[in-house]
Amino acid sequence: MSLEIINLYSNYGLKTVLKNINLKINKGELLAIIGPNGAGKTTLLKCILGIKSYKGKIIYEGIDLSKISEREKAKIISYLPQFTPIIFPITIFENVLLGRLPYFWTIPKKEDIEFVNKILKDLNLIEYSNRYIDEVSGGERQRAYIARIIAQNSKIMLFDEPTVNLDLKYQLEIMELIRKITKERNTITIIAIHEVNLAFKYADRIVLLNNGEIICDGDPNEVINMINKVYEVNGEIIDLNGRPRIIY
Amino acid sequence: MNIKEYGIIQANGEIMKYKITIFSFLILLIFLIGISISIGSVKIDIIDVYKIIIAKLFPFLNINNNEVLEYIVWNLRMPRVLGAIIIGAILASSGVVCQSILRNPLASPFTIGLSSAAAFGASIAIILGAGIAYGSYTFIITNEFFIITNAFILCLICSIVISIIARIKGTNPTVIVLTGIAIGYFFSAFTSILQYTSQAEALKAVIVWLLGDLGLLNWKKLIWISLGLIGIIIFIHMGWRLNAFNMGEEIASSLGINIKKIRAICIIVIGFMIAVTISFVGVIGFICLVSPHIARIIIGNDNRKLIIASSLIGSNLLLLSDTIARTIFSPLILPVGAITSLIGGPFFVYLLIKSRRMYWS
Repeated sequence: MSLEIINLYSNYGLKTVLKNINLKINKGELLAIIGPNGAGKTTLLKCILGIKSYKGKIIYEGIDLSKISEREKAKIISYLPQFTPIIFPITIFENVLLGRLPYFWTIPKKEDIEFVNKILKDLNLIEYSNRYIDEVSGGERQRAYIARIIAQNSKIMLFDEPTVNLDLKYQLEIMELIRKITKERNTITIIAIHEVNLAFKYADRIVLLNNGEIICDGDPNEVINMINKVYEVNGEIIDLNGRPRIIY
Repeated sequence: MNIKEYGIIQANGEIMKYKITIFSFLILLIFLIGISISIGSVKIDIIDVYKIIIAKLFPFLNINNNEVLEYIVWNLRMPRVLGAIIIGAILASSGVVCQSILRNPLASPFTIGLSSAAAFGASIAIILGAGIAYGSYTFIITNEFFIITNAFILCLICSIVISIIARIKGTNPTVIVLTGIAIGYFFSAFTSILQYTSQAEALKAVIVWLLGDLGLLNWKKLIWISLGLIGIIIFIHMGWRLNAFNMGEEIASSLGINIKKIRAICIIVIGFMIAVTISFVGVIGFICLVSPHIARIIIGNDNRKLIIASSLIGSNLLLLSDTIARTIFSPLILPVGAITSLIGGPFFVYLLIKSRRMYWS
């Protein structure tokens, strides 16, 4: 049970932004994609979601994801984009219920409502559930968006910079939450993230991208040695409870 | 308190607000129906109006009414009142969906060129005395049928062109809005040329048509116009999907929505709704823009509720405008399109100033 990306190429106009990407990601695995700006992290997520055109194959459990309908795909993949360009003021409850959209047409079923209420309770959002999403703090809002991803109940979860614009407490909380749901629900989780230390702290596996190519793919201890070279910095590598960190 | 109870309580506030809003506008609408029908060259007691309507709707109740009054109420005034209600609802709900799918508060079926296309169609029929539906300019026949069919066909063609562009440039709503505006100018230019070269009588007929008039409605036309209500049903069915649309294209896609397809379908449905209304009554534009915003300010942005609330507000606004238009300087009947803007504009500005929340930021 895995997601396979085979010989993937993608370009914006004449510029090739992803070159020969080959990845196999297993269930229950939390994969972090790191890399400098313009490395192709977001593009890779968009290709997997199918909103960016690509050459190559993306296969989940033998299904070519480019061959299935949007609705079927939404039952397999959920996605939290980097920026929410507009904060559409609906309540947190309604926002989370949107995650059930691939499962109903006109009116949400009773099970959908119950499922959403359970998620809101699990994420300690129930007291906010009637608040408008533009009225809560950035951290609460991000949790509400993640609640929507959980509500979608998909096998693959894609997060693009889930910790951006959050304070340290929320950064850790959001990453903890993503790791927890990955393990509990046994999902394939892919996070594109700038903050490398968060990736080293929480990810099972890290893919380092640069100029659209995979430079390094492995566990945090394998990848960290390439950081200084790729980012052109001179950081000091330390070990914290068996997981590496880099100090600048 | 268990989770289920909490869920019910937290949802109650919003649901109550929505129910109160719908109930209030329904009561207001029923009241306006009575007032509107009772006023006219023959004054009719408002109680008699309701009695006649009830007698007509429920014949088994055997309520006896004055036959002359019954004729005036049911055959002369009711089509106009019912027309205002239906058209107001169709225009307002199409406005909600237009703003949602194009994610633009200024978008309305009228800003994307549909009305200009219809106006051009009507102008051809009025000024050149020809119907493109008839296929040839050699038939010099000017009648209502050609005005309606021309306006309808041009409006539908315009919506098909925009939906094709939406299908091609599906992820960029700004391109669609700008294309619609350009198409609008294109048709307006033709209309202007036609007006410039037309005779005085024809020119006046075009201008009157452009201002909108509910006076020509009858039961037969109402049946045609009612077809636009199908669009409202389709949009209510799509309420949740439209909500996802408003979250942004990437999120909507990830929730299983085919952006290009839904947008193209909505534009065609809107095109049909607008064609079927304005081809019969002329250009009544402001309702499309203002009713959705009034509804947003009162009940929020949830499209499921917004489509229904906005339709009711549109009905009320158009019926009120029409009642004022035909009574304020009676026997002179003012153009309903102008009155709609006169009432709706200041009310809208008032709500914008009073409103605490920003709905488009």
